Amino acid sequence: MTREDIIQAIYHILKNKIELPTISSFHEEARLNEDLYMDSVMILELILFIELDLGIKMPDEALSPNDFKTVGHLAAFLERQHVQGVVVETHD
Amino acid sequence: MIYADDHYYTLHDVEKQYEFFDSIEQIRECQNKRLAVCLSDMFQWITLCLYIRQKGGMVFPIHPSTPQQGALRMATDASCHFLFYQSMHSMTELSSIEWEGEGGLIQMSSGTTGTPKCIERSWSSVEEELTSYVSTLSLDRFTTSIVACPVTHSYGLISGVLSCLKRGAEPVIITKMNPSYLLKKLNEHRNHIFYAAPTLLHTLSRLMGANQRFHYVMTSGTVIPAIWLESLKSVSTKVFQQYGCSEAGCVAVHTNLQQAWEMGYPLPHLRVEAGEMDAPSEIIVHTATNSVSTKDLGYVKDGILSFLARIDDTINVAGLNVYPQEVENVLMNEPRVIEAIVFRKQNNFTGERVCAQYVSEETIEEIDLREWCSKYLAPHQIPIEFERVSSIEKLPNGKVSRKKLAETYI
Repeated sequence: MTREDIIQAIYHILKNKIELPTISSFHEEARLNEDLYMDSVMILELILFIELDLGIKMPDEALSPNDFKTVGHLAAFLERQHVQGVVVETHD
Repeated sequence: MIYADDHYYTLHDVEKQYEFFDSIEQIRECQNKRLAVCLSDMFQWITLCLYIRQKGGMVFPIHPSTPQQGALRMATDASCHFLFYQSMHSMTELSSIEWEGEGGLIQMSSGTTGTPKCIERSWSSVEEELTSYVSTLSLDRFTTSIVACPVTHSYGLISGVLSCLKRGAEPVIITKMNPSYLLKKLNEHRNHIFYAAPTLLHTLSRLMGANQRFHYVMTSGTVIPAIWLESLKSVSTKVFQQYGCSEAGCVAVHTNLQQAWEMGYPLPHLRVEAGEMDAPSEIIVHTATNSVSTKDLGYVKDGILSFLARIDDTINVAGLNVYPQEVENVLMNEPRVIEAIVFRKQNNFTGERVCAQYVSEETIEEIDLREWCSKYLAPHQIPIEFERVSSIEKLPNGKVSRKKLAETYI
């Protein structure tokens, strides 16, 4: 899974699953809080779909807010998780 | 004594905090003072709350995501003397007018006229609620309260943290919103009662593995969808529900929830008045000293209080109340906005959302409106959708109907 694939997948989840009204502001540098106006529940839903749909397992420690700052930061974080091989079966 | 995320704080740490508070004159001399507090450090906030309670001062907790201008406005509206914003070293003096009253807790709530109003509860009424609540729940001191909702609001603060301390147990406050992390914490404290908003409970129940289970879970703030309750029940030893309001605190508790609308048995220190099943009426709560009109519709059957609907238009964003009038006031302060109305819209995944319609002479960029709002409002209060309209629909009596707008968008 490339970085591009990951960004596409995040876009897909936000647009179709979470039905984010601010999706037109989506781009790699968009900040989740300030530009996309996602609140903590939406971010939680996003994490859930990443686990269930992408099969990327989230670590069970407190996440650094910096990893969720922008779409690009999130993609980089997921890429690291993916590379580490913590992959579970997809539920798609 | 208390956990905040991964930190464990001992009684000794609490004593050290108390010594620190003793060194700040405005805190040390907090009797007859009203202190607004907006802190991200949850351990510091809880110890400060305990300290002010012991001294008999008045405290107004403000949600830590509130921007500084918003916190200042709230603190001023609540006639506070001081605001501590994000640090005990950052203090703003707002008033020096003498105030003589009983110490307690200030919370914001919707009023009968619609504008948010300041609710003041004395520490003695909080204490009375705690005694009644703890005896009704009848949990032992080996059951840990894990609190994953704001501890600036009464659900998280009084029911979650203070009641846990009262029964001699050690509360765990979670601020890091990572589902896997939360599941790990639940696993570390297997004998737990978990306090959260229904959306979070639902998200977690979908992520649970075969060998993971909730022990006790508490839901509150909104009627949980029936299908969510069923899936929650299948992964929990027991589902609890509580019902309450800022004025009276927790009013009713259910310790084995089967039907989502059943709020439970009224707490013994209160008398609750509501209609009957076929003739529901407003839920009125009588405390020892006053009566509270909840503006909620309900009934009592076999001693159990059931909730049907909210009479007013409060928007419930993941358990946090948003009062439309408060958001409208901010919007209408934007020089180009002529009129604004704020109402709720349902989202399948994330529950109720704040939406706004506004009237203006010229086009206003959405980003400008968001930026304006973010100066005064917490993220959950900022409308997710703005729609520019030529006029705002009125009822025949000239009043706006948020309820009607909310219905057109379902």
